[in-house]
Amino acid sequence: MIKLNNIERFYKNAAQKTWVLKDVSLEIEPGEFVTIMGPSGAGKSTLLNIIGMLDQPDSGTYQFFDEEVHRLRERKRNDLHKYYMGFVFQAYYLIDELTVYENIETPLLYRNVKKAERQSRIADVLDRFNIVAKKDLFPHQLSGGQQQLVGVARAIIANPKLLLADEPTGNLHSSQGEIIMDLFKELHNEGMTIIQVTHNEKYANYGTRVIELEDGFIKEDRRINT
Amino acid sequence: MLKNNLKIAFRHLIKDKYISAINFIGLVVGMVAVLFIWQYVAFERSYDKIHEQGDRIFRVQTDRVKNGVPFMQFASGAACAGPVIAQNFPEVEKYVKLVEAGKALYTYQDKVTFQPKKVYFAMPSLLDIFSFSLLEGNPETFLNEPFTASISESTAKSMFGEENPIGKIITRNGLNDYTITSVINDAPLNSHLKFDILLSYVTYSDVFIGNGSSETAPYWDGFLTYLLLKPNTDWKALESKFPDMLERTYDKETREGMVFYLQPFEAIHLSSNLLNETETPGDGNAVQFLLIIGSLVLIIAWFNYINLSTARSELRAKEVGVRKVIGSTRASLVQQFMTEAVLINSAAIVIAFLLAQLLKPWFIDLVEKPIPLDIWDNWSVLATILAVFFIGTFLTGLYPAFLLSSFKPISVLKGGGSFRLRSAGSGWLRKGLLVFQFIASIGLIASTIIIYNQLNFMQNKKLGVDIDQTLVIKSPIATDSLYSQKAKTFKKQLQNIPIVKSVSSSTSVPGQPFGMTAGVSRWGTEEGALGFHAFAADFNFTDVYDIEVIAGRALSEKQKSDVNSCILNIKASEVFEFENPENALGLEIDFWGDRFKVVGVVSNYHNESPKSEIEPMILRPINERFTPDYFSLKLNTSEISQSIASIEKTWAQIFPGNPLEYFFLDDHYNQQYNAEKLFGKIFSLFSGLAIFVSCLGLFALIAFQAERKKKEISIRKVLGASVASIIGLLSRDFIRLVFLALIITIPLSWYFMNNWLAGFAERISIQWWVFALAGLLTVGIAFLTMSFQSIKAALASPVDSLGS
Repeated sequence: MIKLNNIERFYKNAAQKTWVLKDVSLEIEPGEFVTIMGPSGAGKSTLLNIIGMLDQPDSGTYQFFDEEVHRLRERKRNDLHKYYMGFVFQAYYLIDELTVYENIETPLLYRNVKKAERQSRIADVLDRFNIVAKKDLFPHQLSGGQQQLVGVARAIIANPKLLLADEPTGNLHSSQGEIIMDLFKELHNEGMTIIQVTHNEKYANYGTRVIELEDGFIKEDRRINT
Repeated sequence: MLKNNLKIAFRHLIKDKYISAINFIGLVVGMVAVLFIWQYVAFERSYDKIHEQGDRIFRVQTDRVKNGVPFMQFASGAACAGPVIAQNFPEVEKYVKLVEAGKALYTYQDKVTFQPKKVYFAMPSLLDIFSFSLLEGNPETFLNEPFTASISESTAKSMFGEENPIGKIITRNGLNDYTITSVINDAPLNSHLKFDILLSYVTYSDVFIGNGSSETAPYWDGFLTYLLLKPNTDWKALESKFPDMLERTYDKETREGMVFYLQPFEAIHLSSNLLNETETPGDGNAVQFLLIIGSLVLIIAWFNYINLSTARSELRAKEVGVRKVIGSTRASLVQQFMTEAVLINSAAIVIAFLLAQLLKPWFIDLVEKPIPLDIWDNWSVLATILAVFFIGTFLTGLYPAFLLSSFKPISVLKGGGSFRLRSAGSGWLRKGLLVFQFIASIGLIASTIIIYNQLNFMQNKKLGVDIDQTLVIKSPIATDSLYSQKAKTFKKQLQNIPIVKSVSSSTSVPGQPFGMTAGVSRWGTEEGALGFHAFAADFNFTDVYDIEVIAGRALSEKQKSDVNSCILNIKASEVFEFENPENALGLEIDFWGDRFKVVGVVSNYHNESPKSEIEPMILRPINERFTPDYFSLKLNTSEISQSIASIEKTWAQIFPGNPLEYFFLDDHYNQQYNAEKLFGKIFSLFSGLAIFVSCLGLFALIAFQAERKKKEISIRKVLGASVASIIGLLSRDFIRLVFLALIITIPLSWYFMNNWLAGFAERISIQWWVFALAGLLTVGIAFLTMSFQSIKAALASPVDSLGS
């Protein structure tokens, strides 16, 4: 599904290059639940953003299914991003001016889904995440855990093939964090491919594979037996 | 999607309610200003546009020239103009001449008395040249016989009501009978040529004048002449052939003494301001100024919107990032931000439209113009509304929309909120727009000061003529052969009234044109005549009006020979080429065949306001032929309520049946400033609006800046910064922009105001302090606006903003 080959990402200033990612090669199959770990500044988020096509590598190749992503025009890349990926952020990033329902609905609007189908899909997801009662509230009226539930709901509403999560539990209490991780596990069991960045060793064990980054290199790539 | 966009746009407007309110108020004020100004301008520009052949019609302007310099320029010029030009040039298809018939009462069978405002003797070709049409009567016989008349629709209504006026006979001043043969459409309000009654021109040329001179005389002015040129005629080329024509037809002197010009008919209202215009012309300059300033208010409001939206864009950046991540395209983001602009612009235009309707009577009062303000009838006003809406929406929506939608999600979402807008372009844009607003504010303040200075200057100018405590009584309209004698009696009896110091009668009074223009030459020479303004008055006129005699003496009752003496002003003595006025004394002149001797030269007093040039003037005595039109009463007091009864009694005894009409001369004189006062009033009003809207924007922008710099301010305060230094920090940039604006404004407003002042014969020069004051005021206003926010920010406790 994802094939990264010699990916590099760096910043240049007058005198020197600062490497963020160096020589990263990686293959991820459909159905995997990958956790990217590593100390701050190791390049975890950058790697996630490159996989999520929000950022471009300075060199190296990226194959997503059959597409050579590094060769694609921006528009096509945006399309891939739009139809295959869902994103969950540490800071939730819900749109303040929209209700829970509307936040979840927005990706469907951008994908021109018909109204009747939107309604039934949102109803399903609200039901499944147990937030039906909250659907008309605005984000600031929700707890952090509830906001992140909405964030996940919004990320998966358009049926992406790949769910990317950047420290999804970073702002949450442990009990709330577990709810999110249980949800990820459930999604994974249903066949969703997930890549998450986390600092939390315990949450890494929800997945099937851990990639450790350090100073832009892959330090370790191990499978977890569940 | 649209519904969603509307919803979120609406919620954003509500959320940022102060900024929305400022944008909204600014837009409404700007739109109302533009709606009003545009209607006013559209009306002024709509003059004389209804005539089908309008682009081929030209009015002949006559200049009287001495030594190559024109000293009088007539809208209604030489008697010979039409006939001679038409004879010489086949390019002229037709011409029409009109002569004003003067003040008179028109009666119908002693039952109806009517005093029309405008009556002309007019040629039948009027109908062929202009698109006036007859409501009743045969166009073939329109004004083609002596003593026939055509009356306007409204004259017909007020004289005859519903009765058919055709065939009825009206009597002019009880002397001449005219048969009404047709009823002509009223000329519209926006027509410089208006008339209540038209009398047939042959009555004037063949019966009253009779010797043909009204068609051949080159030195006789007062004839409105309009030419209809053949299609595709080069009128400039035609104009250049007139001097040769004058020499061929008359002689070399005539060629050198007068020039004919052609005035494109449709441009006359706003571009021509000559002697004997048919009505007070519009002021093309003023119209331009008002159009600019009205638009400025709206442009400033638009700039506020752009400024505030781009300033706010940092707050919206996160939303843009999130939306892009969850699948929004750039186009749909642009759409979303445009929706906000559409929403606020359409709300503003609806409110502005309603407000404009509501305030319409007030605006009509303000501009003192009968503007037909019916928006639905006027496509150009409707078009303005649409243009304002679309241009406004695009201008205000598009830039912020593109700026915002260009954000890369990765850079706005990284790290959660420490994002700083690094787009240098928007910084320049914001500063540019601000500088523009400051330029507008300073320029408008400076211009307002200059306009009022000029007004004051004119009103405080020593006129050289005493117009205070002067009551002027108009002569009766219906006069008879005994009028000259009665006028003398009236004058004598007035002098017996206690509050009356002195009385003089004359054909004209200060505050209006002299009334007569005459070609005058030295007695007994073959020299060509020179043009002068003239009026007739009693011997004591110069005493009563306290006009300074520079050389010689005033006319005197004691000098029997003074019935054939006259007075010049200095300007007139210069026209006769006397450098020293003393030398003009004793000069004998030929005034319409009469011989007059110059006995005195008076100062160049301002017969008309200092706006007008001093004209060369000849004052000749009142006699049987030149009977008084005005009685000027110098009073001991301005309290006349007691004595007006005795004046009325005297009047009723001598002129029974005539209504007494009187006015105070200073009021009458000051009416000349009405146009300038009105201009000043409108100008300052709209300047005020523009500055108000600018301040709104500045206020919001500073508030925003303070909000953004909250953390920086707190850190500085923790480090020991004083309140003053923080206020300085927040306002320094703005003050710098004000100075930049000042530098740009000075030459700009100097240029524009100099143009405006060029319309005044006597004018102030523009002083540097005006700009210093305007700049200071702008800094002051800006500082007041800012200080509220700056002080608030500076006084806030640092703990609040650093706590988190």
